[in-house]
Amino acid sequence: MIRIECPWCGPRSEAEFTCGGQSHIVRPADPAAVSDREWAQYLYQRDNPKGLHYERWRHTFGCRQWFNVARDTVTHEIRAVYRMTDLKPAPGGEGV
Amino acid sequence: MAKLDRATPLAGTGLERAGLCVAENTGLGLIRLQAFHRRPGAVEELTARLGIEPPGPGSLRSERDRQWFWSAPGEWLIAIPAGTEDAVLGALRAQLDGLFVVLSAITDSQVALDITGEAVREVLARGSTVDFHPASFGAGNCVLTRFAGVPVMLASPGRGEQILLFADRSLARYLLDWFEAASIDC
Ligand SMILES: [Zn+2]
Repeated sequence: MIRIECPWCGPRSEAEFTCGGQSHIVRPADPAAVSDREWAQYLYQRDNPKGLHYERWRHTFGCRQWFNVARDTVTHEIRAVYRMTDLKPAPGGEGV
Repeated sequence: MAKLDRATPLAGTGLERAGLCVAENTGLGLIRLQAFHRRPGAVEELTARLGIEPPGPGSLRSERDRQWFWSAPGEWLIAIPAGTEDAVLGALRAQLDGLFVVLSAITDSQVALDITGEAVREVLARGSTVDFHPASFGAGNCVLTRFAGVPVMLASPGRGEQILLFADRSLARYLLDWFEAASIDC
């Protein structure tokens, strides 16, 4: 069980949250212009890093808000929590 | 209507133990106010129109016969005397006219439980990982949490050790059963 700091409610246990997978995936601006391969890449291909992973979480049992978490997949250490409207913190940057 | 009025979620049943009492609170009407919190100035605008600042995350605020509970960014639960929903909705709609907000009466979709007794914090701690020590959950605090596996709001309005619980109405019987099982030694 990990503890996640909801940007609104503060630290809560993992059981209150839902993980929404990798974050910062951008939908192609013009879907008709991309190849099937690129579209499949967008829909299905996800990073599987050993280490720092940027992911979306939702405080399902609390304030019901989505936000971003930068988490180490080896140690489960949470390196940064930031709102959907915040910029992605750079690896090695402040807090990450 | 009299028939409907009597159809409260727990039909008057509750739990009475030496250290813990759970009773349905049928005296509250509930209104939900939702504003678009990401628009800059949205909460300030609400505050100016209402004449009071709605409570921030994790807290509640009492004002006349209204209690405001923070339930999400830009969203509050307002508890008022049961039966006054239409009047309060009308008054709030007039006050907030023109703002991008949604007001809904949700009394009948919810159950409110009064939880009292000297074991109340100990029993609450059996249902959630939130810290219920008075130092972190005292008068004026409210939390939305996973409690007994389901989403609930717990509030400490400040009347001694009385805790107020709000949940979806369909969870009422389950929650009462849970309190009964979880407080067998109280
Ligand atoms: Zn939250």
